[in-house]
Amino acid sequence: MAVSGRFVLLLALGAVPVVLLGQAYGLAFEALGGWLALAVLLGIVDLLLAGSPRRVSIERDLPLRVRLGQPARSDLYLTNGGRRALRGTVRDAWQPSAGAVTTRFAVHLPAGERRMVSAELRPFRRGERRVEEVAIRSFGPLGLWARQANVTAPGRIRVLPPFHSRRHLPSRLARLRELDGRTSVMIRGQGTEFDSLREYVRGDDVRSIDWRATARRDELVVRTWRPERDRRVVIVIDSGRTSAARIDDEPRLDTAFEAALLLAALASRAGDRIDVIAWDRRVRARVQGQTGAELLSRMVDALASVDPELLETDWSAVPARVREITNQRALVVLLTSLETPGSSRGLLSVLPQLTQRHTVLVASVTDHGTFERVGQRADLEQTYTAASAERALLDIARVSAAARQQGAEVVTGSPADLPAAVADRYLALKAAGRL
Amino acid sequence: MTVLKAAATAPPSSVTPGPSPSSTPTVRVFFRRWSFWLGAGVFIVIASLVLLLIRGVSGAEGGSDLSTTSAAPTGSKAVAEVLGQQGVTVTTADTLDAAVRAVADARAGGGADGAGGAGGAGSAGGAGGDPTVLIYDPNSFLPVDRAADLAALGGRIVLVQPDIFTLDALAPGVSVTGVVGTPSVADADCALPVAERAGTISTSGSGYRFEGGSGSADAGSSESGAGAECFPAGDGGFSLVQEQRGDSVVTVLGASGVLTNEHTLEAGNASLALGLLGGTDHLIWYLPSAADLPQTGPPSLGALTPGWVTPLVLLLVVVFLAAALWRGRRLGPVVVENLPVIVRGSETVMGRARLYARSNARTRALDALRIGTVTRLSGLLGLPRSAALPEVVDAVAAATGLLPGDLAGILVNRLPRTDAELLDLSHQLSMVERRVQVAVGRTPRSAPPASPPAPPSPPSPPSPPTGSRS
Repeated sequence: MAVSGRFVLLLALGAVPVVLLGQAYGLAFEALGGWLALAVLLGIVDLLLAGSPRRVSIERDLPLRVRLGQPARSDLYLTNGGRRALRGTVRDAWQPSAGAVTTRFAVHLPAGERRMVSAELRPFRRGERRVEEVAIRSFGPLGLWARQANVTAPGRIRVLPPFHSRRHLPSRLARLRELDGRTSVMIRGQGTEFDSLREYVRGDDVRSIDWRATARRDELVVRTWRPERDRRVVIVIDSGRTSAARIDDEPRLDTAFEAALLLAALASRAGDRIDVIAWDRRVRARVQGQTGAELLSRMVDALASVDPELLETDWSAVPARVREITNQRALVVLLTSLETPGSSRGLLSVLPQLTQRHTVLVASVTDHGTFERVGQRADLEQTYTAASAERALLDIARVSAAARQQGAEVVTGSPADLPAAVADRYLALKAAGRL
Repeated sequence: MTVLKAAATAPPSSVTPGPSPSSTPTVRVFFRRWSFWLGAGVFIVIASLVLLLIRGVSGAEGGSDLSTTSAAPTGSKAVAEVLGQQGVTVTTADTLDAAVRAVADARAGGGADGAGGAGGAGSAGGAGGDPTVLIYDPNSFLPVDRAADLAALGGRIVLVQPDIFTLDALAPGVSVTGVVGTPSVADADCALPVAERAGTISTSGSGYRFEGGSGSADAGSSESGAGAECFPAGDGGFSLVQEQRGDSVVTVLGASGVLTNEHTLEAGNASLALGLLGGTDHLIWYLPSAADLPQTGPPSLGALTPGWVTPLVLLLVVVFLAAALWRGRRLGPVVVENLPVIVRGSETVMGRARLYARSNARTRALDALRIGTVTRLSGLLGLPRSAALPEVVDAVAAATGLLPGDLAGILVNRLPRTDAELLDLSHQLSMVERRVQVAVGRTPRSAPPASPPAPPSPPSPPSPPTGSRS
């Protein structure tokens, strides 16, 4: 049950008869009692005439997924199954992060009819956003008292990672195409594999002429090469406690997602097979054996609901996880953080196991604020901060050096740069045939 | 997904499904769910009402001293009850007006056989149909200036522990001698029948003395202004003094303990009490209250306000409650959501800086700055990573023209003893780095302490994506 402002006003109007009757006849108490009784009686009548909110059936029409930063429309179909018309307010109780522009709607539902209300959702956080109930407040014809009930009408919408870094994709794909079909002289490396034979055109390197094939035909034939294909790429995203830290107001984990998505998009175009796991002490998300467009949609879907866990990542189990995915030589990309020797000890201790079998790329987000703080030494506080920042940089340098010593590639960058840097390093490795 | 799409394309289906389940309990479910607590609440209310009723009837509680309804040690319920059983009608009054009315009623009702009761205090000269009036006024509420009303109380008055103003008004021949010090048991020691019958009482309260008109107290009765003094209570005072003036007999009882529940059974207390109070068929038990005080001054606020103000205030309270319900009633449930922790990546850096500052770790802080600077310098000058410090110092000296001794002091040797020295050394470190940058031909940071450098330009140890070996 609920009352309206109109009812409060009605009660307040009782001051007039109380004062008038009290002044004229000394019947103030009687006037008060009469007015209150009248107001309550009207309220009860109103309540009895209000349409039942429990007789309303609710259906939802929601998109299953929406990319973070894009709006979605949430439609609510209300059917009045009762005998009386329902006039009142409906609240769609979305979680705040779903960013519903409006959650309250004024509705008028004649008996037996259906109406639709729709709201725009602008989610501002990745993950699964839910709505469980719809609250309906139904006023009577006088608008004094209302019946109110919460009706269960669950709904959910999955907010996918934004994949901002896809703007880097065209330029990297162009670089990939440049790798394609080059002659061996331009990218002399053992990693390229034989692609096809074609007619010699002026300008081709004479060293790539295939004399045996030329002998079979009447024209000069050169060999062409292409980058190696069908290599395995295993992306391991660290969702442990260090991934919760925000750099440039973006959690490390989200930057890791961006890097993973860009790398996956690039590598799948390059013909490699990509597997992704998000790992801290157990697998939080896994995408395996997908290719093409399906791969990216599966990835965003799987990663959407992964949040940083406040746990220390168990690196000792990572080699086994990678072995589960593939026995071949692969490029293992570890998206984690290299910060202090203490927090990276687990990672450093398993790196040899990984580098023995695979090419390992460790990607870590660094904070540009730290670089800036090193240079700011105006007063004592800033000097101490500079010293502390310097110490942090030295730590990162030590950890990076230790990782390189154990045979891993290390890529660091700010949140904006890291995805592109990882993609570049992948291309470089591919060009060098080190996959 | 396909199901949902289908629903989206044709949402208004012709088959209306049943109403969606509701999570708000219906009235019936609500009462069923809360029936225990509702029952418990009703039970508690009823039980407390019953208790209140029982206690109110028994009168075990409350009441002032010598109240006829008070069973407390200082009450007088015992005496009043026994008087009632003996056929005496006990009427209580708490204002003078009520007392006068009760006296008039008693006169009208059973005045005929009032006189000559069994051993009444003044059986000889007792007022015709007057009932006995007991006055106990410890707070001096009695309006002694209303002589006419006091006279209307009749001629058979028992004053219990009166003050001098009451004595002046009702028994001018009696005066107060003082407070009875130690309670003791006193003999009657006089000729009053009630006192003789009682024999002894326990004294308490105040002592009184009869001075009469003739100055000296004498026992026995005289024509006017005669008095009797019984139960000597020390210091020349008596616990019972009777003054007889014409028709009226005023008995002053100093020992109020005679009437209390606690002491009435001691010695001859009960006998005296019954003798004093049971002399007539009617007894007016008058305990003056605040209502007896005369009203003076301007009329009170309540008298000035119009009659509709109180109802209006009540109405406003109701309006307030309704408004609270209006604004406070939530439309639907509170929605809960797990929010992520927010940890800034720079927190460790700031935290360590504050630790340095708090512990004045100047040397440690400077060490960090020096190691960073030397690493960058050797990178700038193209020295191998394994280059020893003296080599770096020499190379820097060669590049910048600074004295090697000064440089060694800045880069290694000098210890910062004060904060000023620390600042100075850190500035000199920046200076050296800048000069080396100039010497090598790299654009130096424009003003190291102030403006942040463009991210790629500062040569920093964890070089971004470049420089990987193997």
